[in-house]
Amino acid sequence: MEKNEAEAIKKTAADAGLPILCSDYLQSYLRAKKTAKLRQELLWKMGDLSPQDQPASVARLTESR
Amino acid sequence: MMENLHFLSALEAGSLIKTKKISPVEYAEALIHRIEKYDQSLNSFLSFMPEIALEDAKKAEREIMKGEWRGYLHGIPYGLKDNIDYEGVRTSVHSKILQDNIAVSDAEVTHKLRAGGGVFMGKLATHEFATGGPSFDLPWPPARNPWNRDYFCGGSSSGSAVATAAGFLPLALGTDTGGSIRSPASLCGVVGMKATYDLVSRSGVFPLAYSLDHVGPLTRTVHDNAMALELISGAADGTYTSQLGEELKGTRVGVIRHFHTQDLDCDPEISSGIENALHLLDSLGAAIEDVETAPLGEFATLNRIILSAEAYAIHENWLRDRPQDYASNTRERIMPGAFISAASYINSTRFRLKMARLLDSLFERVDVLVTVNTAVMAHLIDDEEARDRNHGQNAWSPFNLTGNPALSIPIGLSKAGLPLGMQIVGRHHAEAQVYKVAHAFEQASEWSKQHPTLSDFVLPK
Repeated sequence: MEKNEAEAIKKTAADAGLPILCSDYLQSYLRAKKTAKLRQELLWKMGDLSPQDQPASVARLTESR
Repeated sequence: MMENLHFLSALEAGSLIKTKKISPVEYAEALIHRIEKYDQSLNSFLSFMPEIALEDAKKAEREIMKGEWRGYLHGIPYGLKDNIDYEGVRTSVHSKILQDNIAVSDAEVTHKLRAGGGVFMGKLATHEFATGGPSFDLPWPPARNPWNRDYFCGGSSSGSAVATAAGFLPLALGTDTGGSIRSPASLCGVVGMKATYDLVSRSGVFPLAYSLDHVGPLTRTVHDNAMALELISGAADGTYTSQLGEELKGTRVGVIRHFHTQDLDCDPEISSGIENALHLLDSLGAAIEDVETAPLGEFATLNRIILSAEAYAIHENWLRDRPQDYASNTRERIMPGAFISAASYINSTRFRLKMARLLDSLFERVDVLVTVNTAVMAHLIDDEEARDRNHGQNAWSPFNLTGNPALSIPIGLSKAGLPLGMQIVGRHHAEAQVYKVAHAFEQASEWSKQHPTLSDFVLPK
């Protein structure tokens, strides 16, 4: 692993408050961060919501029929 | 003693018990014998409890002899996925972290099964914390597919499906947050129901993601499944069973075909199996039409953001304090939640309601929906590349997101002899309609009468 990459991963882990126990974990944190970023990018591509669009709740979900 | 009790349905066994043609003790002993003989090669049980089973069976026998019959599940053995509490028995959720965790009380669903006179046989394998898997770096090995033990059995309610398919139990409970009942039901060839969100209590069940978790039954027949749902949801007798056997004439079946023809790279054998199943439904009088909804990827994105954020909220402290005690695969599934922003989580729940309403609009035209279940065949259980590649190749997450009832039903066997499944989805609280369609299909196709042969692969002592 290159020094810059290792530093980036350590920062990723530290920002999330996650411990660094071995190099496997370092890779896991980086993959997790990339996965989260990808998912959020897919969410942003789904378009804009109206300010009136409320969060789902259990009651709203099952009463939506 | 009657032979071959192990593949009786719960209804058949319950009827024989009611009429005193078999005793609950004789039935429990037959299943205990089968589990002892074969489960060493399938690993479906984490905590096998034959002593409790025999006590429960003797109690059921005494009650029935006194005329105190409680229903068709009285004297019927069942198992619980190991994230569902049974007082005095370990709930490990298949994790080193909870390997000493003894439940102090029953989950609500356990209480209902006990009140119905069920015979508790033990706790069943899962994927660690009901996610990830199959993993080989845990205190217990993963469950294996009873149709071919070299293959993945699906998950995370893996032990529940394996034990049911293998003839160890006629009924097991599982949980489903993104397909964890329907995945193993499909790959093991049994019936698995994820009912409407909140219909079945989650009290006493270790959570994966609060707003997506569902508890539900896995059985070999649709009738057994409907009966079990009546019991664990507290519904009146007949709520989900009274429409079984009704004709399908006039029933409108919408097919979300783009899930498997466009959104997923579906195995041709599975596509062909679905087409055959639709032909059969058509021949039974159902009116089949194609319908469209949002791309599967949008449902999946929302499900994964919500799931990983909620799961991380549960595991945050353990992941910081003892990450080494998780399977590596579990860590990688939960940790993205550490990096999901609060805004993304909230916006996902806002999109979620829109998607639920979008799906609901389809039910103005049709009574049930049919979709692909998993789009890929079971992979070899130790093939990690295939495990990661196949993750997400399914149509389960939309219905955890929207809370609609979704049932997996067997539709045949692949050329390699592994089960194929299909998904039937209903309006919220319209489980009876889903069961009616599934039952008609089951009776016409008779796939539920096919069972794996276990004697071929018993491990040498």
